[in-house]
Amino acid sequence: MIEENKNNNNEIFDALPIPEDAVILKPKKVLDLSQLALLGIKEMIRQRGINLKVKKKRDVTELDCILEINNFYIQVIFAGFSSDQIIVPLDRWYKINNAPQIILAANIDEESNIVSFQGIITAKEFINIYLKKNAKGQSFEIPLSEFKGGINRLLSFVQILDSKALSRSGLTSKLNSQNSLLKKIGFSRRNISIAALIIGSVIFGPNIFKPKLSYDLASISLTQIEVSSDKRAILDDPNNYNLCILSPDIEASNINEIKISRISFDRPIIYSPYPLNEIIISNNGQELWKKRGRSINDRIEGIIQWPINPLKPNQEYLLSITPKGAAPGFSAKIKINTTSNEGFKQLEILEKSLGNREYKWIKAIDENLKKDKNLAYALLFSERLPKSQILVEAKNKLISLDKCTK
Amino acid sequence: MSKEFENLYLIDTFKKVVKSKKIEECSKFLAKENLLFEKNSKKIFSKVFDITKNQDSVESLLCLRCRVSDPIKNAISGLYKKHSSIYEIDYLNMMSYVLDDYGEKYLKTYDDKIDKRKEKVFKWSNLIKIEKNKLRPFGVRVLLEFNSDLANIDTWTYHKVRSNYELKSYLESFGLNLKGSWALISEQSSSRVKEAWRLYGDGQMNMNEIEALHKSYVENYKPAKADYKKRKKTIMGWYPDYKFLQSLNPKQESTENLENIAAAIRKFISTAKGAPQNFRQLEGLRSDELFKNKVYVENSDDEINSEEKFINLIQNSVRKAALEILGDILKSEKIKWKENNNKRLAWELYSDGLSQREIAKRCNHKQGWVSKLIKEKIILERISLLAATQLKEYVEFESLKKDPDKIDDLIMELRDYLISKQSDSDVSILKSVLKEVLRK
Repeated sequence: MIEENKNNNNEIFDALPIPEDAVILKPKKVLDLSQLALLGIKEMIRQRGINLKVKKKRDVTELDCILEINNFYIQVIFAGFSSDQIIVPLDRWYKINNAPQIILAANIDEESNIVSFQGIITAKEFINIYLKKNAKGQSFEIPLSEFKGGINRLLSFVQILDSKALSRSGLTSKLNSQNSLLKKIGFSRRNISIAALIIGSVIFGPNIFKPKLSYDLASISLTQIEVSSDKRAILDDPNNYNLCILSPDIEASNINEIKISRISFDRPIIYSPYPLNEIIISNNGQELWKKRGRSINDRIEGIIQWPINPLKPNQEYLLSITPKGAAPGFSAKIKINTTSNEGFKQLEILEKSLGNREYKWIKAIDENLKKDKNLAYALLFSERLPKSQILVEAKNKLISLDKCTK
Repeated sequence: MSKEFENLYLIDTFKKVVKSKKIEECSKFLAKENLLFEKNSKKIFSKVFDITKNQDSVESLLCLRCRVSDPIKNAISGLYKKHSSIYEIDYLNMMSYVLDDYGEKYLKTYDDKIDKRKEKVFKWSNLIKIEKNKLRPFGVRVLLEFNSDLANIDTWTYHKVRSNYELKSYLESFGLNLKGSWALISEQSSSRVKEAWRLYGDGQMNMNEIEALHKSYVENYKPAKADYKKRKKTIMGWYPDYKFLQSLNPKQESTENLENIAAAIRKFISTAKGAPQNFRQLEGLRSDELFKNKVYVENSDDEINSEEKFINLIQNSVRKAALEILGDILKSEKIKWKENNNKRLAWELYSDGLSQREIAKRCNHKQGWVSKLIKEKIILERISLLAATQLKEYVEFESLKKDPDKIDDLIMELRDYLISKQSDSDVSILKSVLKEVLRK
């Protein structure tokens, strides 16, 4: 018999919340995943009082099935409730002009007959992912977070879209040769989707909704923080170059010598528009990360993405920054306090949830400029930021800030 | 340590508590076997289990029944402690599904009758004759299936409690799903397992071993479950047997390493839960701000008029859809108000703009009760979907039929509009329409 181990009770035995929009089915016999998915969709359609017929095609596999709703061909693929990735079988995508138009990701708990839907991706979105991932073979795995909108997005598409608006052409050999040709001449896959978007906008005309940043960027100023030395309490040096910093943003009414920045997510950015001599991140007096300008002519410049392990809730770090020109041993100190677990965000999850949609990014940045500037800056300077004139202009405005307030 | 074998945890139905009862027969038995002062619980269990199976002793089985009542009580207590602040789960109700051993000397049948015939004496040889599904109390079922080669008695008991159908159904009615370790491991990607292990792993295995073990587990899990499903006509209660453990890479002797992986995954997932489910919070935004925030372009010379026309169309459609959906939801809700007036109060307070926490407090319920009653996310989705399908019929919204991105934008706009505040009011559009429906 193996060692007794009572301490892992909580880890072994726990319950997870059932998603709000999940349906708990009560089938009379044991059903397979495709049957559960079909029943789940039917039940959700019934609950919404919508008149839609759902037909399940015969060719079912243990990984997927095909449903037809309002002349749309939908590939349903299966994952569990705690899954992070999902397998997309590709067989159906090689059937030229007979490929699925939409992929629906179903989360199914087979033991409890609970079904919910993570969301969908359209054929066009799928092909973009396929090209980006350089996928090959019979199937490939993609993050579940790529699927958006729950069952509602599916129901809106099948009810509003013309069924010809979504392609059935699948993964054609033309697409593959086009991709390799583009690669040869040096186009990235990102260019393809942007080009497609431009063509799309010519065909379908101007957008109905054009998002704007409502926040007045001109009202943002850099925070000035006095440099000090651990060895001498008061800086009485003619060579006193204070730090002017944009991110991390300092709490208002912060009159302490060490300024405090409250961070509600795991990867803030560090940015001052002025050159810096040194940045040190420490925790409990222990140096965790350090960056120094290589020479007088080569200082630290630009945006620094959080360089160490992601922050966690209820942590405290000290950021010591020496601006260019400050006397040796002097630095501006910012205490980074992370918020509690409740509402603490992972930047990557948030970025993925915004996808490649300009509207969503603008909205998220706009809202956070009002309530959480650190998060707004991290989003605006994110590597995942979609191509957007509005956002590029906003970035440029922040980069060129020079108003420094104490 | 022997105390675990002489104290039986049971529900005191009069005092409505779970209490520990000392079983004298067990103390005498343990003294007789010189186990009363033995400190090694594992050793006691092994010996008592052996006597129970091979000598068919009633007393030794009673000692084992005491022993499993402890992890049963712990499993439920832990679960209750963790979730009772949000969900309205009842401690004794939960216990009643699995802690139903009162130390009887005769076997009970499933219809709760006690039969004092010789063949019904509570001993191992009689237990194994009974169909497992009909066997009571629950703890005895745990013991009967126990395989000491695969896990210790605590871990085994936790898994069996988790598979209890009645307990699962009870928790599901409150919105909680008892997720088992075996399905949990199979659902994760290799990268997540490695990250979870890097952060929270507790064991001797290195990262390459973890990766290989997980890969082989996922490959073998599906066919093993399919086979179990075919044989048992159910998928509940699957447990990795020795053959399965030996099919893994590296071969496993027990479930210990798999348990450690599952524990790391659980910690990883619960930490990641800090990320917001619904990021957008527009409670502070006003509806007039929302619409002025956009430029509505149409092929018209008079842009101001066309923008106004658009806004009017959208507002009218949203209002019509909101009245229809809320009317439909409240129609079925109102039937329940006769027996539970608190539900009516909750809807009224919600329409007044109170938060879930405040509503829960005023209705003398927990927050989980409110979120289960008023599913705001689903209400918003239903209204925006209906409004969007109505809008597509207008020529101004023709382009929606051709462009999925425009549908996404429109639906998001509609949801934002519903939760934004009207210029002359402190409550959202959604809540003001709800107020109107409630007054009808």
